Amino acid sequence: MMWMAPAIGALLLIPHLVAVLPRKRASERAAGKADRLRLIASAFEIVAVLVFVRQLGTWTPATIALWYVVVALAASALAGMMYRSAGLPWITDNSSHARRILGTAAGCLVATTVIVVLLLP
Amino acid sequence: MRGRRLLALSLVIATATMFTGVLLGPHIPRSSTAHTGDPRIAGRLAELASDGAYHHLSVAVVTPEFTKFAGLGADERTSMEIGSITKTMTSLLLIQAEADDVLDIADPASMYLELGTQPFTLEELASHRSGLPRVESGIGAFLQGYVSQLRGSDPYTGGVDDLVSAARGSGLSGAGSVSYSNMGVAVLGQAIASARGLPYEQVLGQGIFEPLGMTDSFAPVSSSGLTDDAPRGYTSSGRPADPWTGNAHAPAGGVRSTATDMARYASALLTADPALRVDPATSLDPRFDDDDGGSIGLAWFMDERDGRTITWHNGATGGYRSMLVLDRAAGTAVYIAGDTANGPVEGIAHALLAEATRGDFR
Repeated sequence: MMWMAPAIGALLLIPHLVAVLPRKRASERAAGKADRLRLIASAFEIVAVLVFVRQLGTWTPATIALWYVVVALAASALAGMMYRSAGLPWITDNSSHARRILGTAAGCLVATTVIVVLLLP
Repeated sequence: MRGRRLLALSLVIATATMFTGVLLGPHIPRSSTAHTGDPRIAGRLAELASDGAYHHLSVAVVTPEFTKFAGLGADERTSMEIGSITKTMTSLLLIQAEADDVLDIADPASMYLELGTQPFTLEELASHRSGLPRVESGIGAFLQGYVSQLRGSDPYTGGVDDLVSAARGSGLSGAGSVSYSNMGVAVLGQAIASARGLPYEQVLGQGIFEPLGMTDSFAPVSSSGLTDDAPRGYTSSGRPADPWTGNAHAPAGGVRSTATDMARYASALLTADPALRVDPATSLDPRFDDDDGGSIGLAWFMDERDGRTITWHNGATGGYRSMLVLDRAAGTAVYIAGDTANGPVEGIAHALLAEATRGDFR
């Protein structure tokens, strides 16, 4: 059980690491799936995962190293997103702008709610 | 040129994330270096707690010759949640009530609470053999428990009516065999209170705290029973935990006490103090075997350790861990409590008890 929160966090972060894979970036871009809105939503999710792991993990001298592993995964994902964002449009042309904006806002709101609930004293 | 700038910016973001992760990382509790009380016991306590997530610890060592206290960052007057050790007090209230002819431990609990056709007796509740689940089941209770875990708050918020209703509607599983149930002992405590016609906390005060002079022990029952500056422990992730008062579940884990008072309690149990008005052996003696090779009395567990019979109960709340161990044959006891939810104290208690019984702290 002591490993559960960091393990869940790592599993949730792994999909975001796609952003650091050059080949995946190119293929997604070609398919018109990636845009900056999606990256923004991902960034919120990553921060929410970090807060989740930080607040619900069982931290002892033996398990603290897992926190740094999760932080390293998050740092890699966020850096990859930054690097990837330059070549992307804000919103892909083949989707409804209003729907995308609302969807992203809703996703960010959920992530923010998780963060606030977990951080409130 | 633009690619280099982007790469540099990405590295800055990665570095900033790592830096923030280190700066705002989890708080790992560290044992306080401030020793209190008996220097030998405090020193031994520091050794035993050197490897683990401890912060403040308070210990009482009771032998036929002396009672000594020690602590790390806490002393014998530090108030802490004793958690499920409260169950041993509830079982003592049960035998007191029987001695006063208020009830019989073989009575069905439904004689005292609106439990419908639930068949379990008061003795079965006290020995975790009622078949009731560990905690209230159902999606509502699950969600409440989940939110409590997220928020570090007391999961036991329901009143007596809620508890009785949940117990009335609960399925029974494995009745007759030992299966630990917080709900069962909570129902037991409320049944005793109902039989006496008093609130549980008043029965507890009159039956144990007042006769033994445990002036710093009480069951707050709800948050209104605590002052705003009541001590808080730390959750397993290092966050300050809300106090657990238990509400209707107070008989299963809602007492706050100090090492001074718990030493008095342990001593009364070991010596059958007349102030208790009953022979505590009635609750301390083994009655049934459990599945772990030990046995159970009325709330108390018994195990063999190094050829000695150890009688014990531990406790855990959102922010505290506790343990009371008795070597009844030697007349020795150790009580320990700590203010971190992931700082196990059971091993420390057993080690100190063995050493006290050997005479190490004379």
